[in-house]
Amino acid sequence: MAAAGPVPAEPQPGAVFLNFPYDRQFVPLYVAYITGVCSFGLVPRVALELPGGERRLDRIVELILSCRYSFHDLSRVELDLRRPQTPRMNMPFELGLTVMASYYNPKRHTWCIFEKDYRRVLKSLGDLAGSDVYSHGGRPIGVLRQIANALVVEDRQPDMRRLLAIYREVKTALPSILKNRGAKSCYEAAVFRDLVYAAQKAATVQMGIS
Amino acid sequence: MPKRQPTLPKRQPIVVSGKFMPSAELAQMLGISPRRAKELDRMMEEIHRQEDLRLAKKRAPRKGQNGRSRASAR
Repeated sequence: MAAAGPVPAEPQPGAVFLNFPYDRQFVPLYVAYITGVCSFGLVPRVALELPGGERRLDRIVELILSCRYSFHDLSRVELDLRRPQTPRMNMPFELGLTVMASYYNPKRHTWCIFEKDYRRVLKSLGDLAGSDVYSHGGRPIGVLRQIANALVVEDRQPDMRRLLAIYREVKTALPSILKNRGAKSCYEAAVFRDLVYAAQKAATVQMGIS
Repeated sequence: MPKRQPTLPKRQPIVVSGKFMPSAELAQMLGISPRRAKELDRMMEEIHRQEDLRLAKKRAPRKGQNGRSRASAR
């Protein structure tokens, strides 16, 4: 008999599940995603917030279902050169979970795919042909530009100059946050939470809201 | 004639309210203590102030030129 799956909760209207790799080279884009999402008044959520354990997969599905939107970055779907050499499957796997979870109720969840170059998706994941892909060119400014393309604010759209200023401020704060948390990596839950709070603060100050 | 690359249609943008969650509510949701939230507030305000200063210096005319261009300042 199949185990009972996670119970779908009502999605949080402003929550965005971010699906990306946790590696050192990705840090500038990681900061750009957090900054971009927070600048639009949304709250990013990531799997690294979840504790480990046996039910991790269930918790990831629950987290995806609890978010109204999800952004999936497939730009690092490549061969991991550390032995044994294997392709990196986590990002496409979590995208697959999301597509399936939202398949029967697309109004509950909207997903977007981000890539360095959209042609890579056509080659690596042909099943997604016809889906929208936001190409960011592997640069933070590209991530911010494509988030601004994906999202529209009802009254006040943050422009690129503001988004870049918010990004610079959050990037400046990162070393202090790491030091304060005694963290060795940006991909620790406490660091992520501080970055989200700092990004919203930077966004509200930049837009003259606070 | 070269084969044309298939293009992917753009999806309709997602319309969001753009309203920010109150700081205290966000801190509580993230599990950040009020003390840490205040520290982060102060740090971001200071970074913003310094960034403003840096940009103001960059925009200010060089000393002695009184806002004129290099050629006309001779």
